[in-house]
Parts: sequence; structure tokens; C-alpha cells
Amino acid sequence: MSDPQAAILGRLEELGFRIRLDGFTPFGEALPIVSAVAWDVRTAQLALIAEMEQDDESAWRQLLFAASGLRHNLSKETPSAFGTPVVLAIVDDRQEEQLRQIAEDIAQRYLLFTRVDLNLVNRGRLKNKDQLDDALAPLLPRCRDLLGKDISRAEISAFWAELEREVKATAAGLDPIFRDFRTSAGEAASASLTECEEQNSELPAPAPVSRLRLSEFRSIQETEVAFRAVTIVHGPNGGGKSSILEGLELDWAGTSSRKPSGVAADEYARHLPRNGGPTSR
Amino acid sequence: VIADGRTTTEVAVRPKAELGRSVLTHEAVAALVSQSPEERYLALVATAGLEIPDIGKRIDDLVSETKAKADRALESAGMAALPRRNRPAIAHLEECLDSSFAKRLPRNEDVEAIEQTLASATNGRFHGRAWPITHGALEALVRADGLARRLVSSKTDPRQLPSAAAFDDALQRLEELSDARREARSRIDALITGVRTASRPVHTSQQLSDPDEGIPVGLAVRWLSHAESLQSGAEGFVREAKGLRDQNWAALLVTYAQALQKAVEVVPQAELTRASRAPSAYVEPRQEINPQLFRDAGFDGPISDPAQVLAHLEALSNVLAAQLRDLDELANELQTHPARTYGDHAAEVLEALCNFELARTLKLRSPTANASEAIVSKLLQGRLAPAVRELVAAMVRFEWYFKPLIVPEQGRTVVLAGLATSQSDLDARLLLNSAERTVLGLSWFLALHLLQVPERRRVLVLDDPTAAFDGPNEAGFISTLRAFVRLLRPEQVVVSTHNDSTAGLLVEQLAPVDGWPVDASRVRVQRDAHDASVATEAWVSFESASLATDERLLGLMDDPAPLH
Repeated sequence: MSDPQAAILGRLEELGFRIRLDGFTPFGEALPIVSAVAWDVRTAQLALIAEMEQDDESAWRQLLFAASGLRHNLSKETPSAFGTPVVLAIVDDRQEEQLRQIAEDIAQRYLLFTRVDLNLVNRGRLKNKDQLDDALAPLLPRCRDLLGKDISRAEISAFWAELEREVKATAAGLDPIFRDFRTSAGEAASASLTECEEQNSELPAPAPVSRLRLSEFRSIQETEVAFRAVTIVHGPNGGGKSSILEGLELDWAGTSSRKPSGVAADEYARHLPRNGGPTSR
Repeated sequence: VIADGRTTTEVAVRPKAELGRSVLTHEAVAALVSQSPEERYLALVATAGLEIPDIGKRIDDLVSETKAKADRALESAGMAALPRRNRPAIAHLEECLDSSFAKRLPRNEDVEAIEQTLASATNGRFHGRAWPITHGALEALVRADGLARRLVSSKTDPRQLPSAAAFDDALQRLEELSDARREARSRIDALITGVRTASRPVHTSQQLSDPDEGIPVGLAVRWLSHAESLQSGAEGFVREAKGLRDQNWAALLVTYAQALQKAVEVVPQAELTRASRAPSAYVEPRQEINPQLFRDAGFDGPISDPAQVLAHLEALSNVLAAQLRDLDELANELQTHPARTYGDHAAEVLEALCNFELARTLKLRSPTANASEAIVSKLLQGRLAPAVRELVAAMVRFEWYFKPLIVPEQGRTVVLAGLATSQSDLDARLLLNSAERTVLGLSWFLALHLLQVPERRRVLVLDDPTAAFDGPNEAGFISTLRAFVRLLRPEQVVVSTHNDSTAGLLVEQLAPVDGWPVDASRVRVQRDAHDASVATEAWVSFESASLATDERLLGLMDDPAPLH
């Protein structure tokens, strides 16, 4: 196994991917250029690691065609569980150039890049963990690591505590001529610098909504939407998609991001009823 | 709006929930991408709801606010306002309270010197006055100066210092000096008036100052008296040097006295004495001058040629007038100087100056900026930036025409920018097309969403995120979104799109796999015959795809898959 491949597989294993090293045989047909396969159950992502010592243009073409047809072939009877396959092609500078040309050539004739996520991993650019993670970006290595390392309220509070400490220390270091005023000045300054923080408590985040009923709202006379775990809302411009999302925002926050900051709540509310408000009806 | 039984009929003035990290609208994308680095940082913070305010601006405000208060306190204590925002408070206070009264006390010697020249010009018929000694006044002023200096010290409490009493004492001493001078001057002036009234002027002052006639009388008198004053000063110093215990200081004072002596030696005494008796500007008196005027002025009786010493008398009157002015000024200052009543205002002034000095120091040394930088670096550099960078790279399919933007490791300005190009002098905003901007905005948003506590990321809503994308970018975004939501597994995902085929792609990619999500649907919203918008659930998927099936088909199970 080459060093780049070992590094990639090591990282993917660390991230919880399953690894298969003894060749890739989709639908029983061997794809020799794929030296390892990695897949993750949680995200249902599939990564094909391809590497080649000799130049073989047809092998690369075969790989790109096979990978781009993968989901189509998987979904013949039931929907495909895997997402768009991620191809990690480990290349040197010359192969990188060659593979680009092949990819562009195929892309001109087929919808290649909507069906395969091709990533050129240059052997020379895998010197550290950052470069490795850059190469693995579609598999979200950093997001996986960062999950659970949330930027929480507690951390911000720690920041304010640190700020307060520094302000008070600075006050204590002022000329002794100021005597006890140094303490009160430190308290006043840190209070003034951290003022807003004290007042604001965190607003709740939105919670799921399963049924939304809108009446006489924007372009809607009366309609009801059932929201599932995943809901794709679509329709032509002016059809009312955004009004439905705005309805969700109004339920959650009582206001919406469509209200410009300079417009008063009343004024904004006046524009929400269907046909421009009750006065015109 | 009725959602799960909750009815909303009014718009709230303040939001009841924080949507910035859960609901992405085009407005939010624009705010995240289109602004200057500084603005973007603030927009990010606002969007993040993290409330890390602009500490720099707050400190600036604090400096302005505390300076205004300090200026008011200084004003009520009779002192000048701080000249600028970065003026050290203590230095300003010292400057305001500095008195230096003692060195401005007029000297008896300056008067006595003129008296001496007048005495010699009249062959001893004039006798100088016994001036009240200045030592007492000098000491009182030195004490006042010392007290004023001690007002600005950490060792003494200004409220305890008797500065007003010391100032009053000095004032009283100055009055004695002034009274004697005022009286002497009025007598000298009475004689001058008497002499002028009794005599007829024959020359104008210009004629008297004719350079051909040598040195003018007035100047000769001034020079002589000055030399006289130097002489007596030098002699006095030599005497005082003998009383000094410190030999170094004694030697220095003697050297200085000798230098004065040398200066006196170059004075052409004889010529000046002659010149000072130059022909009078007045002819002989036409009438008698009251002899009492002479005696009051210090002569032992009327002199035969009073016009000849008129210049001396005028010089004496002038120096007395100048000293009276100086004394008046000094007395006036003793009465109004802020140091006099500083003790009464000290608490108020020190408190206000302390607040100002703290704000000024915070601005100057900015430990708060360090604290702020530390958290910005920890949150932005350590967590947010890597996630943004990764999401940008993941979404963009053709890495060779849109390289992932580089997030620099260090440097505060760039940290605030959040994102920069590989060339630090280029502004990322100006390089991006609308698809790239959208990618960037989406990445910021998703990264912020990711870095929340799990209970705050139950819902993810994206309003038409693919509007600016072409096919490959759209595919890149959708497969990244798929991996992202499967990784986070929010309870509810809502994505809107104007494009029907995009909707198909989204629902297919986000459909259930191995039980997550539970279900996925496509809701079509369009206008009906009455031009009213109507939402219809167009397609629902409950059936879960099975990863095990795919694994088998792809030969990933240990048990080889049957041929398809």
C-alpha cells in the first residue's frame, strides 16, 4: 500500500469508515484501478480510492463511467442507499493533468459531475493532517471531528469572565494615587464593557412543526402543509414557497427574517394579509 | 398562522426564537458574504447569536464617556479639561495643580539697586527705604508650592493638606510687600509730578534718545541699577554660601556669584554715571517745589537740580509699578489657584480621572482585545474556519477552477475577515461570482449550525439554496447537504427550491436510508384558479433504502453478492 493511501485509509478508519482493501467488485465486475473502498454507515457515503503506477487512460475512463453509473445501477429495484460516490484519485502532477483532461472530455458529453464526486489527491500535497483533510473534504472529516465541539454559551461566558478579570487587573495596576477608586473603576468599566451580555438571555432555537395552516396570509387564502422529517417545498417563482417558510418563522420567532431591520413590526404586519391587508378588501 | 395548534396573528416586536443558525434565507447569505471583513465578522456574530460585541468600539465609547465626566469634575474643581483623549490623567492633574509661586516673587534688590544709583547721582542726598523683608513671603510661597506638589501624591491625602491656610498666609505676606511699594511709589510719583509741573520741557524724548549723544539717560539709569542689583545679589550669595553645609552646593553658589561679579566688572560705571546725569529734559524750575515732596520721597530736603534726577525717579517708579503688577498677579493666583481648594474636590476629581485613566489604558494596551482575540481565535480559527473551509471544498465539484479559499492561520485582521484568498492582499468578496458567494454563505451557515449544542439544532431550514447554481454545483451542494444532515440528523429538514428537477434530486438524495429520516416528502406550492397559493403534498417516501443491500450488490460484504 502506498503512503498516501495508507494515510487516507488511516484517517477514514479513525473517522469510523469501514474499509475494504481486497479490490472492488461492484455487481461482480472487478474494477482493478480501485485499490480500496471506504464507506460510512451513518452518512451512507461511499469512497473509492484509486491509484495507478502506470499510465492507463482507459482504466481511468472505466473508473469514471463505473462510478457515475453506480447509483443508477443500485436503484434498479429499491432506492440507492449510498449517496454520490466520492472518487479519491491519488495522482502525481502529470497524472493530475491527464486526469483533468479525461474528466473534462467526459464531462462535455455526459452529466459526469452530477453523478460522481471526483477528487484529485496529489501525492505531493499530503504533507500534514490539514492537507489530508482538505483532500478528504467531501467526506467531511473536520465536521465529523467538530461535531460535539459546539460553541456554547458557557464558552462565551468564559470569555466575559476573562475580560472582566483583565479589566480589573488593569485597574489594579493604575497609579497608586487613585487608591480605592481603582477597584470601583475596574468594576464600573467591566460592567460597562460586558453590559449587554448580562441582559440578554439566549432565545430558544426552533422546534419541529408537523402541520402548518396558513389563512389569508401573503398569496395564500387557505392552505395546510404537512411537514415530514424531510420536506422539500417546490414550485414556481411567486407560487408561495417563501410564504410557507415565512409562516414557519412567524410561528417560531413571531417575526421573520424578511422584515427589514428598519421596518417596525406593525408596518411589517400590515403587509402580511392577503391582498394587501383588510383595508383593501 | 396555525402551527400544531399554536396560532400566530400578530408580529412580535422582538423575536421569540433565534433563527439565525437554523433558518437560512437569501438575506442571511447576503449578510454573510457581501460585507467588509469587519462587517462580516459582526454579521457572523449577530447571526451566530453569540454576542461577542465589538470590544474595540465599546472601549472607545468608554474613553469618550469617562473623559466627559473627568472634564466636568476638573471644571468644577477650577481646572482645565483634558486636552485630548490620550492625555495621561496624572500628568494633566500635576500640570493643573503646579503653582511655582516662589520663583515669581519680586526682589527687594531690584528696587534697592535703583535707589543706590539715585543716591550716588545726588551725592548721598537720597536715602533708600527700609523695605519689608521678603524672606517671610518667600518662605510662605515655598510652603504653598510644596503643598500644591504634595496634592498629587499617593502618600498624602489631599483632603488632609492645609493648602488653603498656606495660601492665605502667603497672601497676607504679599500684601505687606505690596503696601510698602504702593506707598513708596505714590510718593515718588508725587515728586515726579511736582518736578514736571514746576519745570518747562525743552527737549522731546526723541531728542534725548539721539544716538549721537551716546547712551540715553533712561537706559543708563536702568543699566546702572541692574549692575547694582547684580552686585548686591552676588554679595548676598557669597554670604549665604558660607552658611551652607553641603560643600558642593556652596562651591556651585560661589562660582555663580563670581560669574555675576565678572558681569558687573564689565559695566562702564563712570560713563553710565555721567550719562545718567546728562542735561535735563527740563529747564530750571520756574517755581518752587514743595520741599515736603522731596522729604516724602526719601531725600533729606529739596535738591537744587531735581530735573537732572527725573530719569532716576521715573526708573524707580517704573520698577515699583512692575513689582506691584507682579505681586497683584501672584495674589490673584493665590486666591484662585485650583490647588487652594483641591482638597474639597479631590475625591470627585480622582474618581473621574481614575475611570478615564482606566479606559485610556484599556484602549492603549488593550488587554481586552487580547481576551477578545483569544476567543475569536479559539472559536473562529479553531472551529468555525476549518468547518467553513471544508464545506466550501466539499460543495465545489471542480476544485481546479475554484480552489477552496484559504483560511489563514494567524493574523487578526485576516481572522476578522474569516476568509481570504491565497494572496493576502486580495479581497475574497471581489473575486467571487454569485455561485461562489452562495457556497460561502451556505458554508458559514452550515458551520454555525453544526457548532451548536445538539438540542439547539433540531430544525434546519434552507430557502432556495441552489438558486445560483448550475448542474455540477447543485449536485455538489446536494450531496454535501446529504452527508451533512445524515451526520447531524436534525429532527426536521425543510428545503425549498423553485426548480422541480432540483426538488426531485433533493427528495431522492435525502430519502430514508436504514430508518433515517423516518419519511421524506415533496410539497408543491402553486397558484390555483383564484390566484391563491395552495400547497399539495406531491410525493412521500416512507420506504427506507437498505445499506446492507447496497453493500452486498457492491461486493463489500464478506459474503460475496449474487450477480445482479
